[in-house]
Amino acid sequence: MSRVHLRFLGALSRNAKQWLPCAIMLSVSILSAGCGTDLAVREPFPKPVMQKLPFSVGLYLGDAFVNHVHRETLPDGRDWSIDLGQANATLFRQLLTGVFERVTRVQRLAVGSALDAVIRPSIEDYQFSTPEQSGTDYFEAWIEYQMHVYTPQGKLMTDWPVTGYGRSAMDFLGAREALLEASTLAMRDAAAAFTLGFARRHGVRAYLYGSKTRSSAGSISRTITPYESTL
Amino acid sequence: MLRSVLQPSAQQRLGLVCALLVVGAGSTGCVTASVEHLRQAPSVAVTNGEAVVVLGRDEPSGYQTEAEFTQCVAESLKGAALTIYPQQRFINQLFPWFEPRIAPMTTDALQRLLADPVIAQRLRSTNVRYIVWMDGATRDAGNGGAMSCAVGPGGGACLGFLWWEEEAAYEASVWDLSDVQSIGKVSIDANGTSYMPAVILPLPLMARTQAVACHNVADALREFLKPRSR
Repeated sequence: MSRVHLRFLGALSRNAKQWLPCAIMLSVSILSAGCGTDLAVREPFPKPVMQKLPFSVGLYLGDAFVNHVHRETLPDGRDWSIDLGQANATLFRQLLTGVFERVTRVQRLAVGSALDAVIRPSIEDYQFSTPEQSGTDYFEAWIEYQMHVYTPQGKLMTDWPVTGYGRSAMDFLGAREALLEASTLAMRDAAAAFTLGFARRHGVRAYLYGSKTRSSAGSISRTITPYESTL
Repeated sequence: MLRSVLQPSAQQRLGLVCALLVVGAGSTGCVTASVEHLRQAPSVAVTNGEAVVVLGRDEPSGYQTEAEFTQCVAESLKGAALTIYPQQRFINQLFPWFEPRIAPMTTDALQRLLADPVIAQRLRSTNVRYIVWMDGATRDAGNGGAMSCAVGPGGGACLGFLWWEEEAAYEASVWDLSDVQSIGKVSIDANGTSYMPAVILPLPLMARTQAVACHNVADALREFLKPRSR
């Protein structure tokens, strides 16, 4: 005979308390369901709404980026596999299409003078935590990209990190969905950070406006976007 | 069919379980709530074609207004003949300006954002006239008691008593987008105590603290947003 004593509920989350009676019964079926979870983030990320910057940029997505799968074994022995690659590709296509007037997918970094610059994102880090690890109701996810900006001749002009954070409350039996949502929110947060962060990269903007002026031999008024002016 | 193959004792047990579940489903804990209004504009008239969107604040470094709470308020306002714009669609339509990291915290910040004609035009295309910002959370406020459960070949049973308290504190700020100003606030504090006595089976008597807070906020917002005669 096995016994369970519940002395106090401090260690349990609010959601857990509400579902306690059912959770006791159904936890057996969860434990018997297997020890691995495969997820794939698939989100139709929206395009940023803003005055587009008047540049033609190339988007270079390397194989490692579009095929990125995060694999991790947690201390409880459970294996997680999270496919971020396709979502990464979609996110940056949408993101740059909303920020720049013309975006072309390129297969190499040196593209000649047809474009103003080439942008290559890379994924530097992805982490997540479960409610058991954090002692909260939330699955949390962190993602860090590195944005590399190249001249049309393929020379690295600058790079900077862009980070994102997301969290999602774990509904009853919804661990998979909660982690997917947390990861999606982290990617959206990174997109927001890029949109704002790009406005702060005065060196990149100066280069782009300078190259535009040089190539067109005309004058292009320096557009200060409203959100940029508040930074 | 199931009942026909059970022995009388099993049927009695099944009846007891069902009776307890029915009693538990119909019983709740205690909730007390207080609501305060602050009206910053004399009158508000929602006309045909104008929509309201309910958004939840999410502090990246702190708490998150629960999605189910903002959803509850939005659903409750639908019954007041208001056109409610879906939250996620609104956030997507104005991506990324209402993401948690950069969502405007003040009407001044929103005003600056709307200086971009592309963003202003997109906002107009939604026909959203009012934004209701929900800010707050429901938290644990204490708990106690003890319960023991035992399971063996002949079945299982629990004995004991547990209780816990929740505090719900929310503030709703209403922004009028026609002239980008705050027109009022509604705040609510609700406290609820839930109980779980167990004699053989645990019987949860849940205090619906968050739901009570939701319905009180929605009632107050209906007063704010209903058309008024001048």
